[in-house]
Amino acid sequence: MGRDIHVGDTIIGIKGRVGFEAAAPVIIIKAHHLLEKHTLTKWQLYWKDQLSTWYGNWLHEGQMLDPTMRNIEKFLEDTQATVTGKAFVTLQPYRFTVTGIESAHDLMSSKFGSYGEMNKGWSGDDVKGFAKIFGNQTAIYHKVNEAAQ
Amino acid sequence: MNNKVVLAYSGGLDTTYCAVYLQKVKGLEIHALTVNTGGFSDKEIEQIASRAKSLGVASFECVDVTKEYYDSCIKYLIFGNVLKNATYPLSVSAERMVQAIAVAEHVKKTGASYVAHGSTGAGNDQVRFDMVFQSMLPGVEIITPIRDLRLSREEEITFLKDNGVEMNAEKAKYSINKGLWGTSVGGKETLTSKSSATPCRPSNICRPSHSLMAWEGISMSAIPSLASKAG
Repeated sequence: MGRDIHVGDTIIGIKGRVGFEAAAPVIIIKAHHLLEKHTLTKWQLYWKDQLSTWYGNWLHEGQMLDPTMRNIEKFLEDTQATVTGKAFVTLQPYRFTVTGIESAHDLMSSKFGSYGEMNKGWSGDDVKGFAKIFGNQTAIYHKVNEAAQ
Repeated sequence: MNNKVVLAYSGGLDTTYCAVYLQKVKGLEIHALTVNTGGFSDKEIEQIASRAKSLGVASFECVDVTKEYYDSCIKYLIFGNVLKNATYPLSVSAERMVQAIAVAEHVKKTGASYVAHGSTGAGNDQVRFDMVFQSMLPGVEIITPIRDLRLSREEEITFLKDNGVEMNAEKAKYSINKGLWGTSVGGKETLTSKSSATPCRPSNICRPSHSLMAWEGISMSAIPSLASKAG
């Protein structure tokens, strides 16, 4: 578990390849990530991805003392306020599955509706209006350009 | 300027070479520092210490920075779910930074005029060590024998043998890095784009010739100790 080969760009510009075993890190990261998928909003997840990809690359390239790293750490730390709960992991020979989570901060709460099943917090008319406005600019684009042809 | 050098020492081939070379050829007083980021057991640290002393270093110290490593680095890698190229948890990159900082602090403490690391000229670590020392130790000269002399592993082994130091040649074929955030293995298989190079039992490398890596064609279950562990 957690064994793989890393292929990547070295700081000095050549490609490098290294074998590694990191069972605990990989399991911890995957379990933590699932908990975040439930407890953070779409754009929190998006910006975390952007900043942490850059953070990881810059750390890899030896730039841990760059003050930008401290700024990003503050952001990452701040995002963790609601990331708390339990993540359940099943270990099997050579593989693991993160089966689910339990959290008081889980945003996938059935009180507000279940995806593809039942809407409780809004009506069908709410969504009709939303869809009309949400697609407004794209609809305008196609109308204008059909007319111009 | 004094003749003290702080050597970032792991007990591997490169840093053993540095300890002997800087002493015998350069006439420097070696202050070896091993930085434990959680990868060494007490027994391994004892072995590293006794090897360092047998090489005639002026001082040897081992600092345990496991907690600092977690607090200043690993924590954020978890917060960020950081897997480089969607695969690698930055096992080595992260700890090398923390080690370089601990070495720089030891240089300040000992007042050494020189700091040495065993990086080759071909990897990432040379840049990581150089940059941290440059920021934290202005005026301290950085010495890198393996890089500057462009030495191969074989040349290092021969030099050490000529100076009465025996290295495990099989183990010295590979560059193994054990730490809190994972173990990495580099060597002949990782130098190609095709050979299987997944570590077989790196967390328990005691007989490298037996099963350092799972070669192509050798299934992991063929290695009894691993199969029983996994089952």
